[in-house]
This record gives sequence, structure tokens and C-alpha cells, in this order.
Amino acid sequence: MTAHEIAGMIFITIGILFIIIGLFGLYRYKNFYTRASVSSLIDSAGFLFISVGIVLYKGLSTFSLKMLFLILLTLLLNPLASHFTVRGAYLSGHRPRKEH
Amino acid sequence: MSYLMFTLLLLSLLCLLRVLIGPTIWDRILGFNLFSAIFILIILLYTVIEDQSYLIDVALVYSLLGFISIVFITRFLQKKGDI
Repeated sequence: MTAHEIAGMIFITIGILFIIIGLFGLYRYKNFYTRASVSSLIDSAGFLFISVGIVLYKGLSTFSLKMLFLILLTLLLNPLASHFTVRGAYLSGHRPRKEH
Repeated sequence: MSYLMFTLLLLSLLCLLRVLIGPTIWDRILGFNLFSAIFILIILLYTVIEDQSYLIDVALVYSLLGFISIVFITRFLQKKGDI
């Protein structure tokens, strides 16, 4: 296990921790908006850490060049998708019940 | 490395559980969006195990299609049917 493989594994485990936190938020909260705001953690932080961990694990090569392009594209698209979801929910009149 | 893929598979099933349970349709779209994000990671981990670099294009196309489908599903629901 060389140095950059260990660093990659550490990044991947941090990414999985972020995904677990996002999933915990997905089931913890009752109304849709807090649920969506917590679970966008999976789209951005979880994805970023795991893919950077994979790039570190494989070292710099054409493989990681394609991976970096995928990371940039997905970091642009995923938050946009969750924004569209929440915007559509709000504009179509989905109001959360008042939590006591 | 393969057990990482297995844990990601379990986490994606949890997202699908939200698609099943979700009271409103917006929770279902949220669960589907998260499921596709985690599934892209599973594809990426599979490319590391099998060391085939053409699978990244599959993940790229899948993330683009997931984004386009989310945009048009939310647009369809927001306008209640008439786009």
C-alpha cells in the first residue's frame, strides 16, 4: 500500500461518512425542505471526497484526467438538480406543516 | 475496495427506501436524485477494481441523463402537466 493509495482510501472513507450523514438527515427530518437541504450533502461533499479519493488511489494518468472532468461536471450539475427539485416543490405550492 | 462498493450499494438501497416511503412526490424525486448520485460512485469504484477506463464515460453519460431527467420531471410536476 503506497502513500497515495492510503491517502485515497482515507478520502474514500471520509466520503462514505458524508454519505451516511446525508442519509441520516434524509430520515431524521419530517418536512421536505430540511430533508432536501441536508441530503444535498451527498451530492456535493460525498461525491467530491470519494472521486478525489479514487483519483488519489489511481495516481495521475489519463484515467485521473477523465475523472477530474467528471468531478467538475458533476459538481456543477448535482447542486443544480437539487435546486430545481426544491424550487419546483416551492413554486408548485408544497408548504411544510408547522412542526411544533 | 470491493467491500466499499458493497457499502455504497447498501446506502443506495436506503435512498430507494425513501423513494418507496416518501409521503409526497417531491421526496420521491429527491430519493431518486440521491440514488443516481450514489450509483455513479458505484460505477467509479467498479472502474477502479476492473481498471477499465472506458467505464468513466458510462458514469459521465449517466450523470448527464440523471440531471436532464430531474430537470424535466420537476418542470412537468411544477406546471402540473402542461409544460
